[in-house]
Amino acid sequence: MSFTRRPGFGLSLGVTLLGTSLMVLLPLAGLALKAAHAKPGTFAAVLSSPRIQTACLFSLGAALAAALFNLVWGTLIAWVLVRYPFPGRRLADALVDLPFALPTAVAGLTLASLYGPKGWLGHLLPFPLVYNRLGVVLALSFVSLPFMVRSIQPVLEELPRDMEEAAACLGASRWATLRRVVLPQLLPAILSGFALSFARAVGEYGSVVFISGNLPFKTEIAPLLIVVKLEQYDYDGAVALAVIMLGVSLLVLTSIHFLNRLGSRRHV
Amino acid sequence: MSIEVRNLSKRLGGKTILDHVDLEIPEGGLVALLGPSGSGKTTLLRVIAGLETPDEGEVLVRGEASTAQRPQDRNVGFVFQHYALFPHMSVRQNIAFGLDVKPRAQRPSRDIIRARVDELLALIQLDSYGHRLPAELSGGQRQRVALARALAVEPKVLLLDEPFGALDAQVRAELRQWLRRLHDVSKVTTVLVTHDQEEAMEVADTVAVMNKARIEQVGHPRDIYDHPATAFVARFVGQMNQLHQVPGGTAFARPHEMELSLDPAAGEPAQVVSLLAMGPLARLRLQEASGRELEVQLGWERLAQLQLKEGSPVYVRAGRVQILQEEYSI
Amino acid sequence: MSEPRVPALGVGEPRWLRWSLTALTVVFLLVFLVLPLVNIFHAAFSEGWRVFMASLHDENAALAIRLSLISTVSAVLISGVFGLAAAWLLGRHRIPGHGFWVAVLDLPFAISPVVAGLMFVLLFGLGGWFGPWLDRHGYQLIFAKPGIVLVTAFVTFPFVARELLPLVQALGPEAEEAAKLLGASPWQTFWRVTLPALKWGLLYGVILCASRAMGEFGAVSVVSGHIRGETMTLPLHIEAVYNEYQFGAAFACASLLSLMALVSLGLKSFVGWRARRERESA
Repeated sequence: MSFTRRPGFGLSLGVTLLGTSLMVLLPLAGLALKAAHAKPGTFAAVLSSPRIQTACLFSLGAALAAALFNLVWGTLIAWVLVRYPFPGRRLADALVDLPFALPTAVAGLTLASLYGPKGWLGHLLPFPLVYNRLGVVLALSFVSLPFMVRSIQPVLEELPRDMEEAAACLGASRWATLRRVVLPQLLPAILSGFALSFARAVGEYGSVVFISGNLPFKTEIAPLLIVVKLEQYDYDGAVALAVIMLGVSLLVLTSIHFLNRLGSRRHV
Repeated sequence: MSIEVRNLSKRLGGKTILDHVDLEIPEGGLVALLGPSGSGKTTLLRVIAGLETPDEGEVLVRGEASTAQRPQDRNVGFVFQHYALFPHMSVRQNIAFGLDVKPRAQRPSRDIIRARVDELLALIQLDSYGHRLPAELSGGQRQRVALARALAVEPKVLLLDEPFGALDAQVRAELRQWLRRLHDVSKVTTVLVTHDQEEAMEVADTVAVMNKARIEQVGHPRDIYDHPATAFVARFVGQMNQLHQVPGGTAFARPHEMELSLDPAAGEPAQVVSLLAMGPLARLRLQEASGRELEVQLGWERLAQLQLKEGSPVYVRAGRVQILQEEYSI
Repeated sequence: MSEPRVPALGVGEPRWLRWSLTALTVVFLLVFLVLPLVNIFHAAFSEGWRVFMASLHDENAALAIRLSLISTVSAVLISGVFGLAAAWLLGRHRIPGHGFWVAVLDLPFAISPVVAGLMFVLLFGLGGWFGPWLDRHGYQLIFAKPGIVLVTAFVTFPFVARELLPLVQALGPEAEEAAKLLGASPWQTFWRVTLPALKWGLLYGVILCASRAMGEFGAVSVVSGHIRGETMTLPLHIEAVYNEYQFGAAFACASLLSLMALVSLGLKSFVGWRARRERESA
């Protein structure tokens, strides 16, 4: 790294700083200033509204449930994809990115139909997974699954196999090796995948509106209420909710940053 | 016998990695498996540890067939080239690992484990490093920790896979000496895999030279150097001049077995191409009229007598010639 | 992705466990990911080929496709130009506040699309900071096409930069310096040395960016105003016809987007494979 003025330095500096400022920092500043200029008591009013409280708590809870669902399945998928040879492994690997590639509205649409009363899976289940909270968790799990798999996979691929062999030679059972040697080294990646899943799920909107039915006090999520507030021209209310959500996002982002540093510190 | 390897074969992806290998390692011995990369030496070591399954043949440890045993049940210590220390555990935790994971009934008490770790830390001269993480140690220190970790469970045999391969030359030489002394104290049967002939000759009391999935010769380092069994061993171990083809093999002679003279009747004519005189021995490179180059080692007194310098004409003959076959055959 | 090897007894999991875990994973992927995908195409054609074709030839659908394409191309261009500049700057130089600028690249990923849309309404909407001024000069961004392009660019802004940054760091300055010593001009160096080394990463970022831009819903929904034939992208059009109970039409449009998603998945695998092959042969 040097400070020498290479040709192109000025141009790229200009594009980067101007682009970031105009596209990212300016909108954030606009939101922050609106929040600062909001009528006094707006935040208190927003926070004390039972409908908003319910939606916010449900948003957090559903995102947490989806992240937990992904914790289990995402870890299993990553493990099988990296460690076990089976026909179609490459196809399965490419498939994991499907929820990234599929527009969220399309995901919501097909999940609502598939798990609905007349859907292929919905009519097999004791009750359909649409217009209820479980359906929302399902949609959130679907859209955030790749984050979990893709944060564990590279770490697992780089994990040297000789460590597990060393543990076996020292008499450790396979289970003890997994628990005491493999898991501690995967943990930062698992937690960071969990946080990424959670962050994606808590802000998700497109897939949920199709499957949730948007029932107040039942399946309403926080992003939906921002849209509702905007439609009612209640800008201050929307801003207050947005600031809360932004706070959650930043908190998660910081914890991911911290986890990544923890993961890389042990490396030589 | 501590380890007996009988008729071991392994193929992987259409390639023969071990080809009917037999080897006997006496109790308390220190054996080096020496060979170029791809000769199968690491695979042989891993089969002994149970980390690879052979296609054919068996391994007996103290007379007990172990081929069907898991590595966990073999009680072998294995030291990896890249240490394979657990990066999230301190040095102490690494060394204690093998004792900590024993089933409750066999696990020593906390105090005994602590005492054992202290003892091993002293042995590897890292007494005050117990609470560091592996990432905070140098390469040589890490390999010593890996060795202590393997010794902690008092293994029947100690297997070392290119243990000094990732270290720089000076540390490697120090650790070699240290390993030799450690073996003299501990008397654990040890197998060392290396591609460095100097390392094998210096540390081991028996050397097994491997080439192309087979063991070509087993013997005392001195014997292997003086009486190589095959052309491959002759070329691989120490410097060797390849003289000419004869019926039944190739003629070889060591550089120190070459004799130089100024008398045209005393050998073939050649010219000194380069000359390096350092200490009591001089190393010369000669070129014969045919274009063939020869390595020669000479005492400085003889060099002074002959008054050779680069470009001098000289007459050369081999004092002792060995005729060796290319392929090992029984 | 290297082919895994089955380890010896006691080092890996026992065979029965490997088999059951593999089977469990495959079944899960089939039910959880493949079935929803199959369902889209099944539902798209459930009302027959004619309904399917009519749904796509509908005037509003065609206009929505057009707007989606425009905003996708714009988003890719913005993300691409910015990404190249930012990755080169942040990967090669240390500027004041380096960590801050790198961290800012993560923000559009972490912010909910709805909040992103709201931020632009607060800037350019009639009740926002610049809205009244723009309005006096006859410009409308929010509830109009420019707003849609803008928020789409926001949500995909860092895609290319994030892909390229690690590549630039790994590449190091040596090749560029060698080119300079051989007499290449800065532009020649960029076009013939830097860009070819980054081409697969750039393409990968562009694919990610395009597929996200094509499907963006939340942010676009907030700034669109949902004016038929005017400010509707394809995903918004799907929602609109779905709410009118035209399920066949909704799924027909959805199948078009799914097809593009599948193409982007295929391209991504191909690019990843080519990049790996080039790296390994280097």
